[in-house]
Amino acid sequence: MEIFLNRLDAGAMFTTQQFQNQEALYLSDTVPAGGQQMGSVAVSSYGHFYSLYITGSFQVCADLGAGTVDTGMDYLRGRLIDAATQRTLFNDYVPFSLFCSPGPRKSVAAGVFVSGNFVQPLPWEYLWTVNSTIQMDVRNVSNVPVSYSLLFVGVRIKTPETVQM
Amino acid sequence: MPFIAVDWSRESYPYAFYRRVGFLSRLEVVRFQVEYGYHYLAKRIVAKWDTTDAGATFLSPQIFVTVTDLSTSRKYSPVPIPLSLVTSPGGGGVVFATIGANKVLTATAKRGGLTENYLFKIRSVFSLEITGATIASAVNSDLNHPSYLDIFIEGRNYPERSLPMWGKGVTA
Repeated sequence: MEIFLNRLDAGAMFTTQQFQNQEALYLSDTVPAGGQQMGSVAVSSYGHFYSLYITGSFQVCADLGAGTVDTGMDYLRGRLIDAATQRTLFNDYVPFSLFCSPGPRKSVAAGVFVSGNFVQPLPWEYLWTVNSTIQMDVRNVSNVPVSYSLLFVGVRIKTPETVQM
Repeated sequence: MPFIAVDWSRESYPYAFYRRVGFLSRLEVVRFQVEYGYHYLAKRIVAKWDTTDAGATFLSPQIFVTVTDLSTSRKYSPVPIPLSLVTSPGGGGVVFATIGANKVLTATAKRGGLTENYLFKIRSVFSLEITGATIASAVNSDLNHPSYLDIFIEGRNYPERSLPMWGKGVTA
């Protein structure tokens, strides 16, 4: 938008904003040691959700014999699924470090993110249906539980049925 | 009030391919099948490989790749191109065995990569021909490729709408 060349129409903007607004859906889960678990976040009944980007971080810990430590290794593999259609959006279980940014984070030292990681979001323009669920089927090959967080950044598109005029 | 119009079964959608390559020879070929009914636009390749041998000796193997559309035999580069120049996180991984036969690589953070826009048409199979060569190998000059290469391809499926499977026979 060329804000210096175009006149901003507050009335039109408020009208649009009533039906479309920026939103982010947060998916966070802990996968048991050596296990597999389906993480999910509800799109909810407010309207369809058009995701634009995915960012994410995950723990990199294991027990090497002297308690849980941050090994810096990539223990999680995930597969993104649209629950409304059961459409798998990855062809296989993908290591998290290949699609998550800022990516690895420390878990032993009070959950502090590893410094120096740039955010390089994964472009993911996809329309998720109202009332559906975003699912991430995750396998953990570490011998301790490992957590991850994904943020789906996009636009909420409200439907006539859900907007209260 | 105009609302977004979506034809749920005929819209394009993002789709990602992943494959782990275990090197058995100097040339490995990875094939990907484009989903039936769709064209596939490969936008970005994200790859990672290990840079140590079994003795944890640091090496810096250079990975070369040739992208080929097997349906037309079209190669997207006249000579193999270094993968490290088009992708991240690239090298720097360490192979680490955890439970059983599971092998994991260092969780190097994902960074940027070139947008490449390879278009593979419906029913096609595309391949990545991968070769390796060691640069500045300190000890083990026989290791001319990494043990593992993880490849993740970001892209998008576009339906071929002229197909009867999409119902109305409308040309895209």
